[in-house]
Amino acid sequence: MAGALLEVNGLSRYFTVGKRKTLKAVDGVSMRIYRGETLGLVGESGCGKSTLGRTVIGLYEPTAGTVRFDGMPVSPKRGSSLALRMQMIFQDPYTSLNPRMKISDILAEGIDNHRLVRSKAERSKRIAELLESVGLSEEHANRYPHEFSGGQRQRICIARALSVRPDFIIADEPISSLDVSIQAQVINLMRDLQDEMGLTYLFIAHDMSVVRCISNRIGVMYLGSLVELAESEALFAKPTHPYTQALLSAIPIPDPSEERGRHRIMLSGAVRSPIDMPPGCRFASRCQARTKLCDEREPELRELAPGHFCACHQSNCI
Amino acid sequence: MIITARNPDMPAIPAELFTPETADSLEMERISREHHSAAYDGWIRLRKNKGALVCLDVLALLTLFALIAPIISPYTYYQTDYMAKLKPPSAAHWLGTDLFGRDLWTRMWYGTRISLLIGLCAAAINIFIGVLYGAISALMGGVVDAVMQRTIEVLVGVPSLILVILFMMALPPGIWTIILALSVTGWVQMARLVRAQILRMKGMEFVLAARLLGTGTWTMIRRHLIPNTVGVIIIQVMFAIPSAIFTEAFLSFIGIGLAEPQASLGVLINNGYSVLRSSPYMLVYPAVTIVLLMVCFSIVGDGLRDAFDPRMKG
Amino acid sequence: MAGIRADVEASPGTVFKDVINAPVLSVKDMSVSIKTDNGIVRAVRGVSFSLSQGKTLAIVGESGSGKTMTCKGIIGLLPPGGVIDNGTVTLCGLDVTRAHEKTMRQVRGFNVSMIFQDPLTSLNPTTPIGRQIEEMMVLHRPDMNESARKARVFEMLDLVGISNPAERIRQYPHQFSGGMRQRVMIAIALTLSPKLLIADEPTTALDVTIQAQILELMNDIQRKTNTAIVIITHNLGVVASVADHVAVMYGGRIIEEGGVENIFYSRKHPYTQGLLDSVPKINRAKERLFSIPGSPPDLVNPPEGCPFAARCGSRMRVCGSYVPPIMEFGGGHSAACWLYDKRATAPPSAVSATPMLS
Repeated sequence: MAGALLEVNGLSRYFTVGKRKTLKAVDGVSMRIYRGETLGLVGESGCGKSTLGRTVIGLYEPTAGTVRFDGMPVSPKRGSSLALRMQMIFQDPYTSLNPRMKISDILAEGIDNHRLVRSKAERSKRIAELLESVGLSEEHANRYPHEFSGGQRQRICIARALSVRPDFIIADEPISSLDVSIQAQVINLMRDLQDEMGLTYLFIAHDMSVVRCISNRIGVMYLGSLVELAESEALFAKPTHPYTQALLSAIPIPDPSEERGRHRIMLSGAVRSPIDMPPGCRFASRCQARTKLCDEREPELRELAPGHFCACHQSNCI
Repeated sequence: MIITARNPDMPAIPAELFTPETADSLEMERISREHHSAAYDGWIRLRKNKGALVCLDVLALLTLFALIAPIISPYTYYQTDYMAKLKPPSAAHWLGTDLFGRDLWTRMWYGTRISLLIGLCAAAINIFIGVLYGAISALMGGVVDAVMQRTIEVLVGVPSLILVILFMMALPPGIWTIILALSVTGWVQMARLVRAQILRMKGMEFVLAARLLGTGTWTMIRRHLIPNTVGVIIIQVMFAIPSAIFTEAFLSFIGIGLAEPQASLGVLINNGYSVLRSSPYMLVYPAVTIVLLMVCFSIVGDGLRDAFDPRMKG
Repeated sequence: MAGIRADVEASPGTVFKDVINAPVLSVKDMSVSIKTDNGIVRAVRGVSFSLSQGKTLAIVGESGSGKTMTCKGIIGLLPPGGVIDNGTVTLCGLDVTRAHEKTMRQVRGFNVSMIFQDPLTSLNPTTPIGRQIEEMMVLHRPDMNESARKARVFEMLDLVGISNPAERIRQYPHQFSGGMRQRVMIAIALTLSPKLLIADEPTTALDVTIQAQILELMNDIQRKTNTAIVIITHNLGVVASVADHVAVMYGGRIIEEGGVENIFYSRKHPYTQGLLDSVPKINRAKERLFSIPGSPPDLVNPPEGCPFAARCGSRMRVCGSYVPPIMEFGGGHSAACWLYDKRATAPPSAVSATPMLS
């Protein structure tokens, strides 16, 4: 791998809720994303993975920590050429497109803002190119978003992100509101575009199997912090954190006989509230391997094997 | 392998149809519904709402009469004829005459015209100030928003009627004074609605995406925020116009609005009220007109809301 | 083809049993249409299936395939503008398409109940959950006195695995987590021991670890109460872990139906094939997924022939204009596809040749 394209150091994002209560949506996350790779980020709802994505790209101001993109600090102020190199695809393709704008104008928004084309003809040529790159045709350019299906809309969103020729795309649950047969279309499209344009992805999802088929490395988040980060092969072969283990065993497999013979790790205990969290390991309330140490000190992300990080007191070298 | 068809008595199908065919990739992405814009969809829905359509027609008719009737009438609204005072309806004076022998038909439509003018102008000013104020407040956020919202609260705290009456007394009477007076507080509701809508919009993903594409504040307002707030604005306007007409009528009725010989629906009602016992029809015409205006604007407003409410999902 | 032969040999027994046990639910040729602003949506177009006691039927399909409308039609809760145009639905011997609304209310308590995707919006936020469970009995079982009802509430909470019931019954829905709320919903749905439980995407809103618990619970409850379950889902993993029978819906029709093994291991319809292949597998490394091109049909103008024809890789010229007949493969396995017609020139083996797992 070449140098890191994106470096996240101790990034935190807190929200104030009610009177003097803090919700630690993201709490001290550090990671690196290398040029041309896909880092998958998984976790259950409310674990802060979307907030992390939005803070990284500068939509939220970080409470603490830094984000460096290609060696330069990312500031929440948008509009610079650096900012254009990072784009985002959102979860809901229905609210991601302005219902009052034609597809051509939606796609040309970034182009128009930065005068990336010189003439009207060039503009419509670029729009046609973008539509084609996501499997749609020129004749769709004059239609409005509500005329498209969910999968088509998500592809339009991808085309819009590509319109400013970014290097890095954060995909925040891009397929979780799509149908199964459409999910595969979007994933394949994203992979083809990555090969073609050398894109780097941060792919956020809650579905392990989806993340696996697109990611080189996978990070697992739990209540605002990374609990495990490894090459995807290594993570699936040797899940180390108890939470990762439970998560992997809980995924229903589309194969009845395999499903019947399977042993599941059933988690008991309640998920901790991210508001005013007690000290200690975040996962302790549901962990079977919990000890006294887990309640007292929060485990740090340690490198157990080359490239395999895990935040658990109980797991030692693999 | 045994395969049986559940319903074997199928119609005869030519055997040559059982040959492979390649699927057309463009055909797969074809959109089978007719192509039309969101506005056209809204129009179709509005067309299905019979009540709103009837009211729209009534409004159009009233406006048409208000514009044309005073022009083609042989009389003017201020022309007095002391020989023909308080005449009941006749061929010469279709709706009769008033205390000074002025033709009521002409005065009625002239009054409607003035009332509509006041309503439209007041609404236009309200939109202008309200949208601007609400948008700035929502977009700037923080301290600016807080100050602007407190200002609105102070304005709401002062009874608006008193404010309007004060204005009317301080300035020379006339149409523009009324419009100005109605605009002093009329925009508050609009500002609040627009602010709420824009705040909601600001968190939406298409706005976030636009921010990431480097869309500036003004372009953001023009391209994303305003078009998606138009529905709310139009509906608010449809309620603001009759409310302005009504306030004007009230002011004129209590005698601090327009002065004679000017006519507005309020002035006419005031005139009619003074001769209610002898010539009740003088009150009936302007009263019916004002009721029609109010009801029709409300129903059309409701119809527009149902038809154009910004649907994020298709 | 050995697998199919084995199915045929095994089939007489299963078929015979189905004949003796009258099905809890039997749907014949049901069509549902819904009037909307954009025109009349032909949401369900001639669907037939049946389900016997103690069995789970999974209806699989994409959004807009008509799976939810099928179930709403069964329990008579179609949205405004929705009507059953055609066909019969027999629920425990009663034709619900002709039943009066008053009868339906009784039926919905005693014979069938439904749980939904989002448990929070289906629970009353201002009533303690104990009362909400009891409500069903107050309405439908006047013969039960208060202590009998209380006992039943405790029994139900125990059944759905909610510990510390004495304290829990006094709590409000917001004090429960998503998974716990779905347990409460199941408890409410099963209070009157209905013969049939319809679950519309019961785990879609839940996290994976919680989803596993709820699925386990549903399997467990079925063993204990012998309830028939119809589960609507788009998640094939969920299907594999709970279903006995599977009906695959597309474009308002059932395009393939059969036992769970039939569907997963010897599927016949190109759509089922594509659907199963497009699911990312947890046990496979980063690789290109199979994907079905195109989008599902718009049911305002449903296609004339096979609904899948426009996206089908094995399409023949007949497919676009004639609705395929339902082909039986034995053992209750059937598919609506022209490839299995005698006259077809394209080899149907192409469909099921690709094994799903390496």
